[in-house]
Amino acid sequence: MTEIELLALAKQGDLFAFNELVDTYERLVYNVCFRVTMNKQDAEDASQEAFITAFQKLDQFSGESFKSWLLRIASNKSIDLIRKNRKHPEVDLTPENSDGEENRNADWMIDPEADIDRIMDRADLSDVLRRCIEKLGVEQRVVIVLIDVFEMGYEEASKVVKKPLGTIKSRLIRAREKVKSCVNIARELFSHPDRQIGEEA
Amino acid sequence: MTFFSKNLPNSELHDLISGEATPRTAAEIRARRSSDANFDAEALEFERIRRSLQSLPNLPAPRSFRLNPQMAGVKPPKPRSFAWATYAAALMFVLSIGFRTIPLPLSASEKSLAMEAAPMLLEAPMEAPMAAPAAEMPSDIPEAAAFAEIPAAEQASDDLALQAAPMDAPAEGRSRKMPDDPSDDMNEAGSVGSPTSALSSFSMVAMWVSLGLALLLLALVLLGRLIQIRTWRKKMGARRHG
Repeated sequence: MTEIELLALAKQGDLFAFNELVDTYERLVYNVCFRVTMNKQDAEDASQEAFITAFQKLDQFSGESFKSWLLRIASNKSIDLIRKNRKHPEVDLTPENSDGEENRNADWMIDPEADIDRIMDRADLSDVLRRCIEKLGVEQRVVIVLIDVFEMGYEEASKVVKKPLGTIKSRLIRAREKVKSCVNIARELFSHPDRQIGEEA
Repeated sequence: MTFFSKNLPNSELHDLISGEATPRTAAEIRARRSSDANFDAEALEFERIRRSLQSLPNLPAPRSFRLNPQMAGVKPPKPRSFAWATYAAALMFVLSIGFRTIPLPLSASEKSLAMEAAPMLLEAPMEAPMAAPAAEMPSDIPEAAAFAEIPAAEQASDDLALQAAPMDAPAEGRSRKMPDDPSDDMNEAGSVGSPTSALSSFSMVAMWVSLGLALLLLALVLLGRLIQIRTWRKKMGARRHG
């Protein structure tokens, strides 16, 4: 069954048909949410909410690109979640380390951004990029994620973000400049004689 | 010196990196890159970052995001296909009540007993307690009728002839008719096998049959509904297809 046929059925309330579309797009939606929120749990929540909203508002879908429409909802859900978390930050009182063991000291309470040397010491390039994207503003982050990470065109990104093409371009340029600066800082840190990428300090 | 300082609109370079530049712009930028090492280094830097971003691993979805009916706010369909059975069950139930409560036609002896008891109740209140128990005991119909007839018939015929002309006719008719009444034989033989008792048996059987049918239909409706909901839930289930 084609996407158009599935959409027609889903518009009539056929949940089974809609779930076929969920199967097709869930990985993309989850990854977009993850790149925007930079948090797996938030990405999971945003993805689920995006699919629920998509099903409930399917009658408002005007027949453009379903992928763009779905990613627009997913991006908005992710942005909403980030803003909500900023207003009501959740701090895990007993976080676990990377080995899944509970931390014994209070090091985890230190702002990770303030301890950039330590982060960079352990980081590989994808970690550096992830950190650099995380430092971007939400609007810029969404644009660079859509265009550079998911190779979306300007037009499609414009539809997803619901902003004019000029806004998309300017946000993208600013985001790339910031990421480049961030990576250059990291490179300087990595090139320090006492430090190597992937090595503990 | 960066390419920004050389009056080259940076948006065009970014268009090229994004694959959105027109062929003419792309040619201009390529020419610039070949002639300007710094500009080329900047462009390479942006291209490298973009390639790195594109090579970021795509995570698998941690779970299925399929919707279940509760999430989507969808209610199960109404069991329209079983509407006929519901209506039939309701009809059967009504019929069963009807068979149980419908007044049966009285036999001749019962009629005479009732007619004789009526004037006694109206005109001889003191004797009513005697007539009433007789009328209330259907199993003793012949005896009760005989017991009740003696005072009631005499008094009724006398009093009604003198006082109430409209009541006269039935009383006289009854007194004339009674000797020829075929139900007398039946009264003597008892009520077993009479049309009334046959009708009574029939109504009881009909009541139980219709009640049974009503319950059976209701059970079928419930079973069908359960199967329907289960099938629907299975179809709309949150589990990943396949």
